[in-house]
Amino acid sequence: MTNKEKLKKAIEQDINSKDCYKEIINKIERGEKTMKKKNNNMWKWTLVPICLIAIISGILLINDNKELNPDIYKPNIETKDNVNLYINDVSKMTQGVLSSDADVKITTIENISYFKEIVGIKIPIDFNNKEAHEIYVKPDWDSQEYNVLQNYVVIYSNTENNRNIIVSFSKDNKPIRDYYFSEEGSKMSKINNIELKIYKYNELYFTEFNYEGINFDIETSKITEQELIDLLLSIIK
Amino acid sequence: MASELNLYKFNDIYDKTHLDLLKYVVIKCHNINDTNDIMQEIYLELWNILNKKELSNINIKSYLIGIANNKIKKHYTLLQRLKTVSLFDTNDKDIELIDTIKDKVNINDILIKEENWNTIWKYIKNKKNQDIPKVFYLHYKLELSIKDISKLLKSSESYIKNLIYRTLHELQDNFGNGGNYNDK
Repeated sequence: MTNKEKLKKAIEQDINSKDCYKEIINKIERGEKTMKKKNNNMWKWTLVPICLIAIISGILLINDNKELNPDIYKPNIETKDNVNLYINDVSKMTQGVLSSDADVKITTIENISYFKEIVGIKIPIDFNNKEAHEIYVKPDWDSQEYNVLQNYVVIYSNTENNRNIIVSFSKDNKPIRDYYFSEEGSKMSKINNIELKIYKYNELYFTEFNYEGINFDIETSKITEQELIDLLLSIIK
Repeated sequence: MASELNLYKFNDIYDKTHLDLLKYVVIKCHNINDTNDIMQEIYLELWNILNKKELSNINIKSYLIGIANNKIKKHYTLLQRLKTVSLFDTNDKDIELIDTIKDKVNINDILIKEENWNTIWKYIKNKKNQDIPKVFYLHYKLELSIKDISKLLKSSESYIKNLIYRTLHELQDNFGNGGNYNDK
Protein backbone atom coordinates (compact mmCIF):
# COMPACT_ATOMS: atom_id res chain seq x y z
CA MET A 1 0.00 0.00 0.00
CA THR A 2 1.39 3.42 -0.91
CA ASN A 3 1.60 6.34 1.53
CA LYS A 4 -1.20 8.01 -0.41
CA GLU A 5 -3.46 5.00 0.07
CA LYS A 6 -2.53 4.76 3.75
CA LEU A 7 -3.42 8.39 4.31
CA LYS A 8 -6.68 7.96 2.41
CA LYS A 9 -7.55 4.98 4.59
CA ALA A 10 -6.74 6.93 7.77
CA ILE A 11 -8.98 9.80 6.65
CA GLU A 12 -11.78 7.37 5.78
CA GLN A 13 -11.57 5.78 9.20
CA ASP A 14 -12.01 9.19 10.80
CA ILE A 15 -14.54 10.86 8.52
CA ASN A 16 -16.91 8.55 6.74
CA SER A 17 -20.56 8.47 5.87
CA LYS A 18 -21.10 4.93 7.19
CA ASP A 19 -20.20 5.69 10.82
CA CYS A 20 -22.03 8.99 10.55
CA TYR A 21 -25.15 7.14 9.37
CA LYS A 22 -24.91 4.63 12.25
CA GLU A 23 -24.66 7.47 14.75
CA ILE A 24 -27.65 9.27 13.22
CA ILE A 25 -29.77 6.10 13.31
CA ASN A 26 -28.74 5.49 16.95
CA LYS A 27 -29.84 8.98 17.84
CA ILE A 28 -33.12 8.58 15.94
CA GLU A 29 -33.82 5.28 17.73
CA ARG A 30 -32.99 6.77 21.11
CA GLY A 31 -35.36 9.63 20.33
CA GLU A 32 -38.15 7.25 19.23
CA LYS A 33 -37.75 5.12 22.37
CA THR A 34 -38.20 8.24 24.47
CA MET A 35 -41.31 9.11 22.48
CA LYS A 36 -42.74 5.58 22.90
CA LYS A 37 -42.09 5.72 26.64
CA LYS A 38 -43.96 8.99 26.80
CA ASN A 39 -46.84 7.52 24.76
CA ASN A 40 -47.06 4.44 27.02
CA ASN A 41 -47.30 6.64 30.06
CA MET A 42 -50.29 8.35 28.48
CA TRP A 43 -52.36 5.11 28.78
CA LYS A 44 -52.26 5.48 32.53
CA TRP A 45 -54.45 8.53 32.09
CA THR A 46 -57.32 6.85 30.25
CA LEU A 47 -59.67 7.44 33.16
CA VAL A 48 -58.98 11.12 33.29
CA PRO A 49 -62.10 13.22 32.53
CA ILE A 50 -62.65 14.16 28.90
CA CYS A 51 -62.29 17.84 29.65
CA LEU A 52 -58.75 17.29 30.90
CA ILE A 53 -57.89 15.40 27.70
CA ALA A 54 -59.28 18.33 25.72
CA ILE A 55 -56.97 20.67 27.61
CA ILE A 56 -53.96 18.43 26.88
CA SER A 57 -54.93 18.31 23.20
CA GLY A 58 -55.06 22.08 23.18
CA ILE A 59 -51.56 22.26 24.63
CA LEU A 60 -50.30 19.79 22.02
CA LEU A 61 -51.80 21.91 19.27
CA ILE A 62 -50.07 24.99 20.62
CA ASN A 63 -46.81 23.04 20.83
CA ASP A 64 -47.16 22.07 17.16
CA ASN A 65 -47.17 25.73 16.30
CA LYS A 66 -43.70 26.11 17.81
CA GLU A 67 -42.34 25.24 14.37
CA LEU A 68 -43.68 28.54 13.10
CA ASN A 69 -43.84 30.78 16.14
CA PRO A 70 -41.41 31.51 18.92
CA ASP A 71 -42.19 30.92 22.59
CA ILE A 72 -42.77 34.37 24.03
CA TYR A 73 -42.30 35.20 27.69
CA LYS A 74 -41.60 38.17 29.92
CA PRO A 75 -38.35 37.96 31.85
CA ASN A 76 -38.88 37.55 35.58
CA ILE A 77 -37.02 40.72 36.41
CA GLU A 78 -38.23 43.89 38.03
CA THR A 79 -38.03 46.81 35.64
CA LYS A 80 -39.17 50.40 35.55
CA ASP A 81 -42.41 51.50 33.89
CA ASN A 82 -40.58 52.67 30.76
CA VAL A 83 -39.29 49.14 30.15
CA ASN A 84 -41.58 46.51 28.68
CA LEU A 85 -39.74 43.39 27.65
CA TYR A 86 -40.62 40.19 25.83
CA ILE A 87 -38.20 37.41 24.95
CA ASN A 88 -38.96 35.59 21.70
CA ASP A 89 -37.47 32.15 22.24
CA VAL A 90 -36.77 30.60 18.84
CA SER A 91 -34.80 27.60 20.16
CA LYS A 92 -37.47 25.16 19.05
CA MET A 93 -38.29 26.76 15.74
CA THR A 94 -37.55 24.51 12.82
CA GLN A 95 -38.88 26.80 10.13
CA GLY A 96 -38.28 30.39 9.24
CA VAL A 97 -34.66 30.33 10.39
CA LEU A 98 -32.33 31.18 7.55
CA SER A 99 -28.86 32.47 7.11
CA SER A 100 -26.98 34.36 4.46
CA ASP A 101 -23.36 34.32 3.42
CA ALA A 102 -21.34 37.48 3.59
CA ASP A 103 -17.71 37.94 2.76
CA VAL A 104 -15.92 40.03 5.27
CA LYS A 105 -12.45 41.28 5.86
CA ILE A 106 -11.60 42.03 9.44
CA THR A 107 -8.93 44.40 10.62
CA THR A 108 -8.05 45.49 14.09
CA ILE A 109 -8.73 49.14 14.79
CA GLU A 110 -7.55 51.62 17.31
CA ASN A 111 -9.77 54.62 16.79
CA ILE A 112 -13.33 54.64 15.60
CA SER A 113 -14.88 58.04 15.56
CA TYR A 114 -18.06 57.09 17.29
CA PHE A 115 -16.85 54.49 19.73
CA LYS A 116 -17.86 57.07 22.28
CA GLU A 117 -21.41 55.95 21.61
CA ILE A 118 -20.76 52.74 23.44
CA VAL A 119 -18.63 54.14 26.22
CA GLY A 120 -20.30 53.29 29.50
CA ILE A 121 -21.89 50.14 28.15
CA LYS A 122 -22.61 47.84 31.05
CA ILE A 123 -20.93 44.48 30.68
CA PRO A 124 -20.66 41.68 33.27
CA ILE A 125 -17.84 42.27 35.75
CA ASP A 126 -16.13 38.96 35.01
CA PHE A 127 -15.49 39.91 31.36
CA ASN A 128 -11.76 40.30 30.86
CA ASN A 129 -11.31 40.84 27.15
CA LYS A 130 -12.30 43.43 24.55
CA GLU A 131 -11.66 43.36 20.82
CA ALA A 132 -12.70 45.70 18.05
CA HIS A 133 -13.05 45.07 14.36
CA GLU A 134 -14.11 46.80 11.20
CA ILE A 135 -16.20 44.74 8.82
CA TYR A 136 -15.63 45.44 5.15
CA VAL A 137 -17.66 44.07 2.28
CA LYS A 138 -17.18 44.00 -1.47
CA PRO A 139 -18.99 46.76 -3.38
CA ASP A 140 -20.42 44.09 -5.67
CA TRP A 141 -20.17 40.34 -6.22
CA ASP A 142 -17.60 40.60 -8.98
CA SER A 143 -15.23 42.84 -7.08
CA GLN A 144 -12.07 41.43 -5.53
CA GLU A 145 -11.65 44.30 -3.09
CA TYR A 146 -13.22 44.52 0.34
CA ASN A 147 -13.32 48.28 0.51
CA VAL A 148 -16.79 49.23 1.71
CA LEU A 149 -16.97 49.71 5.45
CA GLN A 150 -20.17 48.00 6.55
CA ASN A 151 -20.06 48.25 10.32
CA TYR A 152 -17.97 48.01 13.46
CA VAL A 153 -17.91 45.11 15.89
CA VAL A 154 -16.81 45.25 19.50
CA ILE A 155 -16.54 41.96 21.36
CA TYR A 156 -16.52 41.77 25.13
CA SER A 157 -15.82 38.35 26.58
CA ASN A 158 -14.70 36.20 29.43
CA THR A 159 -11.98 34.16 27.78
CA GLU A 160 -12.20 31.40 30.36
CA ASN A 161 -15.85 30.44 30.01
CA ASN A 162 -16.80 31.71 26.54
CA ARG A 163 -19.37 34.18 27.86
CA ASN A 164 -19.46 37.06 25.46
CA ILE A 165 -21.31 40.08 24.17
CA ILE A 166 -20.87 41.17 20.55
CA VAL A 167 -22.02 44.68 19.75
CA SER A 168 -22.16 45.53 16.05
CA PHE A 169 -23.09 49.04 15.04
CA SER A 170 -23.06 51.52 12.22
CA LYS A 171 -24.48 54.93 11.45
CA ASP A 172 -24.81 54.26 7.75
CA ASN A 173 -25.73 50.59 7.46
CA LYS A 174 -27.49 47.81 9.22
CA PRO A 175 -24.73 45.63 10.68
CA ILE A 176 -24.16 42.40 8.82
CA ARG A 177 -26.02 39.47 10.22
CA ASP A 178 -25.32 35.98 9.01
CA TYR A 179 -28.54 34.55 10.34
CA TYR A 180 -32.17 35.46 10.03
CA PHE A 181 -35.14 34.61 12.16
CA SER A 182 -38.62 34.77 10.81
CA GLU A 183 -40.31 37.57 12.72
CA GLU A 184 -43.67 35.90 12.36
CA GLY A 185 -45.42 35.73 15.70
CA SER A 186 -42.68 37.54 17.59
CA LYS A 187 -43.46 40.31 20.04
CA MET A 188 -41.92 43.77 20.30
CA SER A 189 -40.22 45.03 23.47
CA LYS A 190 -39.96 48.68 24.40
CA ILE A 191 -37.22 50.46 26.34
CA ASN A 192 -37.52 54.22 26.82
CA ASN A 193 -39.83 54.40 23.80
CA ILE A 194 -37.34 52.54 21.58
CA GLU A 195 -38.89 49.45 20.01
CA LEU A 196 -36.82 46.32 19.65
CA LYS A 197 -37.32 42.60 19.28
CA ILE A 198 -35.32 40.34 21.55
CA TYR A 199 -34.73 36.78 20.40
CA LYS A 200 -33.34 33.86 22.32
CA TYR A 201 -31.77 30.77 20.78
CA ASN A 202 -30.62 28.32 23.44
CA GLU A 203 -27.88 30.24 25.32
CA LEU A 204 -27.77 33.10 22.82
CA TYR A 205 -29.72 36.35 22.81
CA PHE A 206 -30.06 38.55 19.73
CA THR A 207 -31.53 41.96 19.25
CA GLU A 208 -31.30 44.87 16.86
CA PHE A 209 -32.52 48.43 17.15
CA ASN A 210 -31.79 52.00 16.14
CA TYR A 211 -30.85 54.41 18.88
CA GLU A 212 -29.99 58.05 18.19
CA GLY A 213 -29.25 57.34 14.52
CA ILE A 214 -27.02 54.35 15.13
CA ASN A 215 -28.04 50.87 14.05
CA PHE A 216 -27.16 48.36 16.74
CA ASP A 217 -27.10 44.59 16.41
CA ILE A 218 -26.27 42.67 19.57
CA GLU A 219 -25.51 38.99 19.98
CA THR A 220 -24.71 37.51 23.38
CA SER A 221 -23.70 34.08 24.57
CA LYS A 222 -24.18 32.57 28.01
CA ILE A 223 -25.19 35.77 29.75
CA THR A 224 -28.19 36.00 32.06
CA GLU A 225 -31.44 37.80 31.33
CA GLN A 226 -30.52 40.36 33.98
CA GLU A 227 -27.15 40.99 32.33
CA LEU A 228 -28.89 41.40 28.98
CA ILE A 229 -31.35 43.91 30.38
CA ASP A 230 -28.55 45.83 32.14
CA LEU A 231 -26.66 45.95 28.84
CA LEU A 232 -29.63 47.25 26.87
CA LEU A 233 -30.51 49.85 29.49
CA SER A 234 -26.92 51.10 29.45
CA ILE A 235 -27.21 51.79 25.69
CA ILE A 236 -30.83 52.90 25.38
CA LYS A 237 -30.76 55.59 28.04
CA MET B 1 -45.73 2.33 10.43
CA ALA B 2 -45.09 5.93 9.41
CA SER B 3 -41.55 6.02 10.77
CA GLU B 4 -40.59 2.94 8.71
CA LEU B 5 -41.79 4.67 5.58
CA ASN B 6 -39.88 7.77 6.62
CA LEU B 7 -36.79 5.67 7.32
CA TYR B 8 -37.01 4.31 3.77
CA LYS B 9 -37.24 7.87 2.41
CA PHE B 10 -34.46 9.01 4.76
CA ASN B 11 -32.11 6.23 3.64
CA ASP B 12 -32.84 7.02 0.02
CA ILE B 13 -32.04 10.71 0.53
CA TYR B 14 -28.95 9.89 2.60
CA ASP B 15 -27.58 7.57 -0.08
CA LYS B 16 -28.13 10.17 -2.78
CA THR B 17 -26.76 13.17 -0.90
CA HIS B 18 -24.28 12.26 1.83
CA LEU B 19 -21.12 12.42 -0.29
CA ASP B 20 -21.90 15.87 -1.67
CA LEU B 21 -23.01 17.10 1.75
CA LEU B 22 -19.87 15.77 3.41
CA LYS B 23 -17.72 17.59 0.86
CA TYR B 24 -19.74 20.77 1.40
CA VAL B 25 -19.42 20.58 5.19
CA VAL B 26 -15.67 19.94 5.02
CA ILE B 27 -15.25 23.01 2.83
CA LYS B 28 -17.49 25.28 4.89
CA CYS B 29 -16.73 24.24 8.47
CA HIS B 30 -14.24 26.17 10.56
CA ASN B 31 -12.67 23.08 12.04
CA ILE B 32 -12.57 19.72 10.30
CA ASN B 33 -12.96 17.98 13.66
CA ASP B 34 -16.57 19.24 13.72
CA THR B 35 -17.50 17.55 10.43
CA ASN B 36 -19.14 14.44 11.90
CA ASP B 37 -21.15 16.45 14.45
CA ILE B 38 -22.42 18.87 11.82
CA MET B 39 -23.32 16.04 9.41
CA GLN B 40 -25.33 14.37 12.18
CA GLU B 41 -27.11 17.61 13.00
CA ILE B 42 -28.07 18.10 9.34
CA TYR B 43 -29.54 14.64 8.86
CA LEU B 44 -31.28 14.61 12.25
CA GLU B 45 -32.95 17.84 11.18
CA LEU B 46 -33.94 16.15 7.92
CA TRP B 47 -35.39 13.24 9.92
CA ASN B 48 -37.46 15.62 12.04
CA ILE B 49 -38.72 17.39 8.94
CA LEU B 50 -39.64 14.11 7.23
CA ASN B 51 -41.75 13.22 10.24
CA LYS B 52 -43.63 16.49 10.06
CA LYS B 53 -44.21 17.18 6.42
CA GLU B 54 -44.04 15.83 2.91
CA LEU B 55 -40.94 16.88 1.00
CA SER B 56 -42.13 16.80 -2.56
CA ASN B 57 -41.24 18.83 -5.62
CA ILE B 58 -38.08 20.21 -4.09
CA ASN B 59 -34.44 19.88 -5.00
CA ILE B 60 -33.45 17.83 -1.97
CA LYS B 61 -29.73 18.54 -2.36
CA SER B 62 -30.30 22.31 -2.36
CA TYR B 63 -32.68 21.90 0.55
CA LEU B 64 -30.03 20.04 2.56
CA ILE B 65 -27.39 22.63 1.65
CA GLY B 66 -29.75 25.22 3.19
CA ILE B 67 -30.01 23.15 6.36
CA ALA B 68 -26.22 22.67 6.31
CA ASN B 69 -25.67 26.44 6.13
CA ASN B 70 -27.89 26.95 9.16
CA LYS B 71 -26.27 24.18 11.14
CA ILE B 72 -22.75 25.40 10.36
CA LYS B 73 -23.66 28.95 11.37
CA LYS B 74 -25.31 27.79 14.56
CA HIS B 75 -22.41 25.49 15.35
CA TYR B 76 -20.08 28.43 15.71
CA THR B 77 -20.73 31.61 17.63
CA LEU B 78 -19.87 34.87 15.90
CA LEU B 79 -16.94 35.20 18.28
CA GLN B 80 -15.50 31.90 17.08
CA ARG B 81 -16.18 32.89 13.49
CA LEU B 82 -14.39 36.21 13.89
CA LYS B 83 -11.44 34.50 15.52
CA THR B 84 -11.07 32.02 12.71
CA VAL B 85 -11.47 34.46 9.83
CA SER B 86 -8.05 35.35 8.51
CA LEU B 87 -6.93 38.93 8.69
CA PHE B 88 -5.75 38.55 5.14
CA ASP B 89 -7.49 37.66 1.94
CA THR B 90 -6.26 34.82 -0.21
CA ASN B 91 -3.81 36.96 -2.16
CA ASP B 92 -2.13 37.93 1.08
CA LYS B 93 -1.82 34.26 1.96
CA ASP B 94 0.31 33.83 -1.15
CA ILE B 95 2.54 36.70 -0.08
CA GLU B 96 2.85 35.11 3.33
CA LEU B 97 4.11 31.93 1.76
CA ILE B 98 6.60 33.32 -0.72
CA ASP B 99 9.48 32.84 1.71
CA THR B 100 8.49 29.32 2.59
CA ILE B 101 7.94 27.73 -0.79
CA LYS B 102 9.27 24.20 -0.68
CA ASP B 103 10.35 21.99 -3.51
CA LYS B 104 7.73 19.72 -4.97
CA VAL B 105 7.45 16.56 -2.99
CA ASN B 106 5.42 13.44 -3.64
CA ILE B 107 3.68 11.85 -0.68
CA ASN B 108 4.77 8.41 -1.86
CA ASP B 109 8.43 9.46 -1.83
CA ILE B 110 8.55 10.52 1.78
CA LEU B 111 9.97 8.00 4.22
CA ILE B 112 7.74 7.56 7.19
CA LYS B 113 9.22 6.01 10.30
CA GLU B 114 6.02 4.48 11.54
CA GLU B 115 3.14 2.98 9.66
CA ASN B 116 0.69 4.81 11.88
CA TRP B 117 -1.06 7.11 9.43
CA ASN B 118 -3.92 7.63 11.84
CA THR B 119 -1.53 9.65 14.01
CA ILE B 120 -0.37 11.56 10.94
CA TRP B 121 -3.95 12.41 9.95
CA LYS B 122 -4.64 13.51 13.53
CA TYR B 123 -1.55 15.75 13.32
CA ILE B 124 -2.77 17.24 10.02
CA LYS B 125 -6.35 17.83 11.11
CA ASN B 126 -5.32 19.63 14.26
CA LYS B 127 -3.26 22.21 12.37
CA LYS B 128 -4.08 25.78 13.31
CA ASN B 129 -4.56 26.70 9.66
CA GLN B 130 -7.62 24.57 8.96
CA ASP B 131 -7.13 24.99 5.22
CA ILE B 132 -4.44 22.30 5.57
CA PRO B 133 -6.67 19.38 6.66
CA LYS B 134 -9.34 20.56 4.21
CA VAL B 135 -6.85 20.49 1.35
CA PHE B 136 -5.56 17.07 2.41
CA TYR B 137 -9.09 15.71 2.65
CA LEU B 138 -10.05 17.06 -0.76
CA HIS B 139 -6.78 16.06 -2.43
CA TYR B 140 -5.96 12.69 -0.87
CA LYS B 141 -9.41 11.41 0.10
CA LEU B 142 -11.60 12.79 -2.67
CA GLU B 143 -8.70 12.93 -5.11
CA LEU B 144 -9.63 16.36 -6.40
CA SER B 145 -7.10 18.29 -8.44
CA ILE B 146 -5.31 21.31 -7.01
CA LYS B 147 -7.16 23.45 -9.54
CA ASP B 148 -10.56 22.19 -8.35
CA ILE B 149 -9.59 22.59 -4.69
CA SER B 150 -8.45 26.17 -5.30
CA LYS B 151 -11.88 26.95 -6.74
CA LEU B 152 -13.73 25.27 -3.89
CA LEU B 153 -11.68 27.04 -1.21
CA LYS B 154 -11.59 30.29 -3.18
CA SER B 155 -7.81 30.40 -3.01
CA SER B 156 -5.05 30.41 -5.56
CA GLU B 157 -3.50 27.21 -6.86
CA SER B 158 -0.08 28.28 -5.57
CA TYR B 159 -1.50 28.64 -2.07
CA ILE B 160 -2.97 25.12 -2.20
CA LYS B 161 0.26 23.67 -3.59
CA ASN B 162 2.31 25.32 -0.90
CA LEU B 163 0.06 24.02 1.85
CA ILE B 164 0.50 20.50 0.55
CA TYR B 165 4.24 20.64 -0.05
CA ARG B 166 5.02 22.45 3.16
CA THR B 167 2.97 19.97 5.18
CA LEU B 168 4.53 16.98 3.44
CA HIS B 169 7.96 18.35 4.37
CA GLU B 170 6.75 18.67 7.94
CA LEU B 171 5.57 15.07 7.89
CA GLN B 172 8.97 14.01 6.64
CA ASP B 173 10.67 15.98 9.42
CA ASN B 174 8.37 14.87 12.21
CA PHE B 175 7.46 11.33 11.24
CA GLY B 176 10.33 10.34 8.97
CA ASN B 177 13.50 8.64 10.15
CA GLY B 178 14.94 10.86 12.83
CA GLY B 179 11.60 12.50 13.44
CA ASN B 180 10.53 12.74 17.03
CA TYR B 181 6.82 13.55 16.94
CA ASN B 182 4.95 12.35 20.00
CA ASP B 183 1.21 11.90 19.90
CA LYS B 184 0.06 12.93 23.32
